[in-house]
Amino acid sequence: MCKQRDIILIDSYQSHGTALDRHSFVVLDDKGGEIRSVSYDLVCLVLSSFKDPAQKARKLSYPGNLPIAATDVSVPGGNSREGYIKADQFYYFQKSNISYTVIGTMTEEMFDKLIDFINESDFGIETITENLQPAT
Amino acid sequence: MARSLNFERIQKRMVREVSTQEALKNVTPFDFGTEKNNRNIKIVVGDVNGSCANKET
Repeated sequence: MCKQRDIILIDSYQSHGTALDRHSFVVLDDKGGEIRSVSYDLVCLVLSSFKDPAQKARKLSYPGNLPIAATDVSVPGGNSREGYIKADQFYYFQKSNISYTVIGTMTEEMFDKLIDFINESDFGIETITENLQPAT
Repeated sequence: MARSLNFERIQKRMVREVSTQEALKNVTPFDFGTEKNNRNIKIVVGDVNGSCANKET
């Protein structure tokens, strides 16, 4: 079971019938609630790496991308590098409908920085709810 | 005390719904190294949608 601040690897989900590659996310919230009348119990943000300096500069020019350093995450056995969190796209899930593995945690300091970044910024937030299953 | 999200304010900033596929365009999976942890998870670094992706954020 994952909790807020965990880094998880989601390895089974689909979009419009297409199986998507494994991606790592940070758990933003695990309290649960409803969005558009559908319940969720997991909100995540995707973590991404920089490919090269030019791409890094481009990515960080977007207001919703927050850079993270290798020391901002603790992943046993991992060899993390710097990257960024896409803080302007909220992925809503139901834990029971996805296959995931907890691979580490984000430091408290970085997570607080992330929360402040989201709360205090003005960028628009896109939502991804297609992985939610309406109650039957 | 841990900080918490201001969901009321976030709700007002929600601009649109996108598909997972669209959201992950041009998003390189985070590179934690080649092989990690005892479940032998291997993270492959690369574009999810390759060169066909056309929107970058």
